[in-house]
Amino acid sequence: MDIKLQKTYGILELNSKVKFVLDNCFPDLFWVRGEISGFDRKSRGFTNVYFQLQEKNPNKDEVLSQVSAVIWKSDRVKIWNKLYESKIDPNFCDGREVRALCRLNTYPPYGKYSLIIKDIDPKFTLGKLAQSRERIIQTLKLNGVLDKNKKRVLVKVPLKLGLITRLNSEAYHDFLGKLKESNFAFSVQTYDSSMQGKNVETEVCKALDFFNKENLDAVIITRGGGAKTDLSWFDNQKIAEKIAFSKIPILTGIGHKTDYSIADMAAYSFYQTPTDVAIFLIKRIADFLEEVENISDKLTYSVNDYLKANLQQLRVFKERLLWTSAAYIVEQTKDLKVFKKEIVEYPELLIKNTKEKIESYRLQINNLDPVNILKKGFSITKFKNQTIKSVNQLKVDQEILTIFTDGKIKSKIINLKINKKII
Amino acid sequence: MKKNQISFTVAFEELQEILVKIQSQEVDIDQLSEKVKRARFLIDFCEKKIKGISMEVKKVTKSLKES
Repeated sequence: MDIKLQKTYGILELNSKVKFVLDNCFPDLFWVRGEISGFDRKSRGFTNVYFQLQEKNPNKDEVLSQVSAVIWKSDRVKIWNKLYESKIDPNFCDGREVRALCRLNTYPPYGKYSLIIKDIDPKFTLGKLAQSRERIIQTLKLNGVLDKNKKRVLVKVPLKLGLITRLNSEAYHDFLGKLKESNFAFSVQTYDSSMQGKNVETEVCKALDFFNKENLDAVIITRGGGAKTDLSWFDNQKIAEKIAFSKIPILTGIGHKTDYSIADMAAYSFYQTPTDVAIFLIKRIADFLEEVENISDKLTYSVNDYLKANLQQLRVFKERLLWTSAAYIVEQTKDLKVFKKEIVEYPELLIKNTKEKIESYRLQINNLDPVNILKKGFSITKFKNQTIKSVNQLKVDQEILTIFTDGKIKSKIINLKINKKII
Repeated sequence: MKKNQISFTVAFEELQEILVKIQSQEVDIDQLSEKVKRARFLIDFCEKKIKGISMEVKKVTKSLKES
């Protein structure tokens, strides 16, 4: 058919025709999967909500196609409850992938079509979250990231802390309140950061960069409990890497009673609640103090033992000293007695002996005294005043002088006779 | 000690010396009475000295005996 002869539509007619075709082409309700976009600012309260569903290039952050979507006020409550029961954050947010039960809505006056979302498949969202999470975990494991922060040293008394949380949130008050109760001298620097939504990644990373330049004992990332998708903001590769490469030990309290995030995995240690992190810190310090006390007790005991042992030894020494000195004194007294006896006796003996010797010398001298010899009948013969000791000194007719004890006689030699032998 | 105050030991030794000389007949008969005289002096000296010493010793040992 010649194209010029074909039907010319009016705009409304065209749009009405398109609507008719589309309405007949799709079932009343059908499933669509896509990522939510342009939602956040309009999400407050249970009003009709308009946003986009988009499909991205899986390898790049590039939107391939998008379509407008709406959830009517009445459906929103129903969906909210369903998600809540499935433990998924019931508040929609940008970036979340959903499988939505839709009705095609064409509005001829504008020539546009959109999707009216009637229901959401929670299993799909959960599955998507789990997939993305598993992928991140595998990558981090391969790069050895998950253990890095665990190898940092947490001091025994962590008092200088960096706190990353939403300022004035429940978590903020719970954590600081618990620390305050302990009366330990904690010093806490706080960095205000989003704990949910798309800003979590950049803000938490910035906070970690900031605290890594500070001189801190530990950094705490904490927030109040939330549903599972809420937690997914911390199933984030960049945050996990920041935590892993942090020089300071990172403690997380972003958890959930049954599950934990990738940030938790990369952290030095993780806890369910802000209060739990505070309790851990307090207990660590209390344990240290107890340890110090134990050591101090042990020291006291060992010093006491040492002193006791020394005292015992001292007693032994004292006894031994007393015993030996007593024995020594006995011995010395004995010796002294002997000495005393000797000192008394020996001089007397010596004097006695000397006296006896002198007496004997006197006797001997008496015996040798020429006077006494003369008394025994001997006499001394002299010639010309010389004592005669031999007959050979004399001749006949010489006059000699004979001396006795009681007198002298002069006589003349008549005869000389020399004996052959001297008496 | 004064020159003329000889000690007991010196006196005693001299006495012994004289005695030995006389007994071994080393002394001339003319010197004999001199030597005997000297010996008698020494004997008297020693006796006097030993008596004095004995008194001193007794005094000391008496206090020792009593203690």
